[in-house]
Amino acid sequence: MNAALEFKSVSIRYPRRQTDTISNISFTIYPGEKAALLGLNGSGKTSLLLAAVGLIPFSGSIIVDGIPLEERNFQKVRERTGFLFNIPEDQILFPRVLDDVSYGLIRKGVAPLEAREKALSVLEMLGIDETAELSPYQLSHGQRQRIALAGALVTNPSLLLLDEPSSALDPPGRLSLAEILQKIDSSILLATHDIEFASRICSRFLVIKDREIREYSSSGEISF
Amino acid sequence: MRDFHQVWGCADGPLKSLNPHIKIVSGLLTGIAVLLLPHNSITGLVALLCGTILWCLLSSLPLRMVLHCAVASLILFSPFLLLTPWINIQNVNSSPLEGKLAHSLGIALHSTCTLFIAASTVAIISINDVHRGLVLLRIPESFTALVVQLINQTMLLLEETSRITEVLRFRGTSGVKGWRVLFSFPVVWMVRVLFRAERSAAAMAVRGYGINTSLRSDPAVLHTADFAVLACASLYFAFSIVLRLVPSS
Repeated sequence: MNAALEFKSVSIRYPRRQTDTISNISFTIYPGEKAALLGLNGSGKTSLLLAAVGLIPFSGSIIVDGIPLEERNFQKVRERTGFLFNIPEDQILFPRVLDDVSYGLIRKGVAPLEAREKALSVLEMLGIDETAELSPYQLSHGQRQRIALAGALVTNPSLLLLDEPSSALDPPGRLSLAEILQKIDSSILLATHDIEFASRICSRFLVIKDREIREYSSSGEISF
Repeated sequence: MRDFHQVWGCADGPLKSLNPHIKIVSGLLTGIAVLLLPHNSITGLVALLCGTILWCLLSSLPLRMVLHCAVASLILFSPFLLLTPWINIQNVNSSPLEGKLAHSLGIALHSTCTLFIAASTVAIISINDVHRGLVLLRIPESFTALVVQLINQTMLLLEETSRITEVLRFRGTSGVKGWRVLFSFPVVWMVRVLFRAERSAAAMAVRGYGINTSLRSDPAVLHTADFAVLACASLYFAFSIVLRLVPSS
């Protein structure tokens, strides 16, 4: 069985920077596995997630669900991946919540009515089904974050890349999100600095420190 | 500005019950007709004013928006009217200044009427319906995707602008200092807009939103009112073309 996500000696360096943001890191996320990506602000968590879907240049090799991440495969990889950006407004593309959440399914060829029903069930699962007919502009930051997450979850992707999914949620919201993420079958790489939230969902902890990655199997061992 | 999205669908006149694509097409036809109708004949002028007033009445454009449109029109066209003496037009039969004034007033009148038609059309289409309306029009998908995104990003940008304004106000930008900070606004704003554009483009790439975007909607059921309004708007449009082509005596 293919690994859900595999990084082999990956380095990321932004243009006009003297040093790598991430240097020569390797790790594997197995199918169904839920791993947390931890690190201080600016440690490169978001860069790593962006590289995993080909949004920023990298050196080394990244393989998603058996597909090497090359320009000709970007679309295939992105179709298999659900991505939650750390600013939810950036990824909400429609003026109605239901249109936005069902878009991923419609793009895959699902009939509009069926897509909307599935989208509604995901919104319900996330506790925001009452927003389905509203515009995202009328909603709070936390609600928008859950809508963006619904858009990522609706297609049942084999890999979920989540960038700070709990940052805008209140404590009960965080708890219920952790329960939902625990239950889903997709492999998850969750970038956060909320160790408590991560430990509710993940069984592996990858910590980025000094541009390198260290692995822990329990949240109690983690040091930044 | 914060509640700009509330402008969409804020009217509740009889036109609001139409199907979204009929609202878009009828509004567009009426708007173009208003631009085409000649203002220098009585028939043209009456048709121009009646068409605009009727569209606004049938939309029940809220008084607040009527006032906003009037103020916007004043701001946009007053400076233009001041330039009247320097306008250079050929074949003016009346005295030069009178002819020039009629010319600039005509432009202001056409533009103001179009502004009212556009505002009324926006006021009868809820923002949730824009996407469905465009999809039902069966225009090229890439064009629909572009328009939907223009509206979506404009809304988000207005929200961002509102937030920046609040922050600038909070950080002591009133009084004399305020003017100084006011000039830095475009710089602050532009940087944010550029970063947002970059991030939104990345999100679109990940979500597959672009040239091959699949936008679909359930078919709409047309009612008598839809056909009636569309027929009236088409006739009005055709009438404007006829009046434009037939030279006034």
